[in-house]
Amino acid sequence: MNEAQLINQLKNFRAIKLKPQEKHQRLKGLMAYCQSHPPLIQPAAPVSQPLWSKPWQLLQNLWHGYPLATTLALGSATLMITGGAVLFQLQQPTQPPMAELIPTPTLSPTPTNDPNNPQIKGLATEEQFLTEVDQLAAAVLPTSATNQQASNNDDGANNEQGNSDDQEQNQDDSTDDNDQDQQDQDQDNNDPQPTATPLPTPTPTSSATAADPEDTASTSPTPTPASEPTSTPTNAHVAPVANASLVATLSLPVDNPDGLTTAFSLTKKVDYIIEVRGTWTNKDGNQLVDAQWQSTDNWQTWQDHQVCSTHPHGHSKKHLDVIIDEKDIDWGTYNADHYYQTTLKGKNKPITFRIHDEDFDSHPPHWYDDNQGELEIKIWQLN
Amino acid sequence: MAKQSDEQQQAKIEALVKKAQAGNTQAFAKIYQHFADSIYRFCLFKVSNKQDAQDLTSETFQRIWRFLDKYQQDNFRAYLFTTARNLIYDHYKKKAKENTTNLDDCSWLTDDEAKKQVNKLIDQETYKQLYRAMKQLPDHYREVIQLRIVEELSIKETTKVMNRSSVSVRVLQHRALKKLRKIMNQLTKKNQ
Repeated sequence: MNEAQLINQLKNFRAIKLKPQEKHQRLKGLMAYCQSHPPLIQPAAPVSQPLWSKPWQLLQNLWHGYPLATTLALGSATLMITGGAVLFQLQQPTQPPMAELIPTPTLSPTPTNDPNNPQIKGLATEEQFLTEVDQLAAAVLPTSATNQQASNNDDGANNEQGNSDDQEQNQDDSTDDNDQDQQDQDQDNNDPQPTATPLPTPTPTSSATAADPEDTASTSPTPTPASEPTSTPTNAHVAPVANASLVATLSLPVDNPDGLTTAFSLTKKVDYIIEVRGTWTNKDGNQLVDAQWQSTDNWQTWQDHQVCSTHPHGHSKKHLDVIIDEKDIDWGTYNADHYYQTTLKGKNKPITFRIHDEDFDSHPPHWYDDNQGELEIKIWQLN
Repeated sequence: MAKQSDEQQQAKIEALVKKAQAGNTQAFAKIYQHFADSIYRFCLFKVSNKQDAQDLTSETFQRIWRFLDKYQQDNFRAYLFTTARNLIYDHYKKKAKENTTNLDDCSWLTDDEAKKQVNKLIDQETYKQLYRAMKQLPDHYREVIQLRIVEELSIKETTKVMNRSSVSVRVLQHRALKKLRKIMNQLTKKNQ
């Protein structure tokens, strides 16, 4: 292999990018952070000029900055000036404490429009701000996964970036579909492929680590927020989007290896939103699990299973996840309300939900014995 | 659309930074969109853990936002990579203290998304081989390859990020590529 070939191959690593959904979530988190944490204003550097050239300023500095010298000076005015001048040449003037230099973070959701204010400006209300964020993030999201309209008022470079991301995502989706739904294609070549695209949900953006003492080998550390993460509106009767109608509300028993199959078929070529809400317990209550994530410390930290061939149980990536028609669903980033959603297309047949609590190849039912609880599932039809 | 020249691109970024320095979050969001993937890749190669790389990417931009005032119109890309690099070193230190995660974990290699993306361009075996070869390189060799070749930073930018002279960067790049080629050839021979 020559150098040019090597360089070309190395350039291929550029194909590794953040997932569009992840990027969207992180951008939202970053914008929320920017709102609550204005940039720090750096103090001006102290002017280095001989202060004895300004005796009155020297006196003021001594008075405010050097109480010891001032106290001594109370006894004798002459001593203060002379001693102060010497002292001042040896020491720099005291900086005000950093707390006074750092502006208090604006926690109010209503930023100011005052052009002289160094804090956040330009957006009138929280609602407007969130709309702007969604519009900006829409550029990196596939249009099918968001209900926001993409704003095209970005400049050229960013549009180009966003468009290329979109195209790539579309290609990825199509590849994914082809891989995942090969069996379905054999059965019904004309059926549309189910595209289970996770919808964006608010997520914390923080950095910390977590480790499950029992499953360290098969789980990946995930962030633990410093504060409680923002949550998704959880009103059980509110449609996830305006044009959706509720088809069914189901309870998925987590201790049944066969899961739950809908009594009705999902209409062909119609888009559905599947919502999963709630948590259940595994290992006789020692492990809390939701549709995607699991925790052993009451959700102080959380983990997701990754493919790990060396794990004694050979856990797959979908271990303990809610799966639909035996397919792994990416339910997205952790949600403190344990509320997740995904979209899929109907195929004129019922769908089956199941907790994936099993080995690679076998289905040992006794693994389900220690599972307790149920998850709420709502199926919405997009009109 | 024709690819913009580096100067135009840089001028555009600097204009966005200026707006962001004035408190414009929308401009900062654009900056994020433009650089997030590069920073993510940079972090991913360093920490070899997808989740940590994502967190470090977010943390980098948060840090940049907080200290935007410190940045003087120079080279924002270099500033961004330098910040990410510093945070990665902090991360290493923290991990070393906690001793909970294997930093050489390459589980992200099996990540479906990454596989899918790279599979489009090169076959899986070459990809794995190249990654293994990269892993065998000393850290500064790997870093120079990533900055200069994968992210296409200029020599000037790389000198700022790596805190080395331009001659040093050139020499380092030459040696790194030579070594990588040698490792790749060895791996290929082994496989044959």
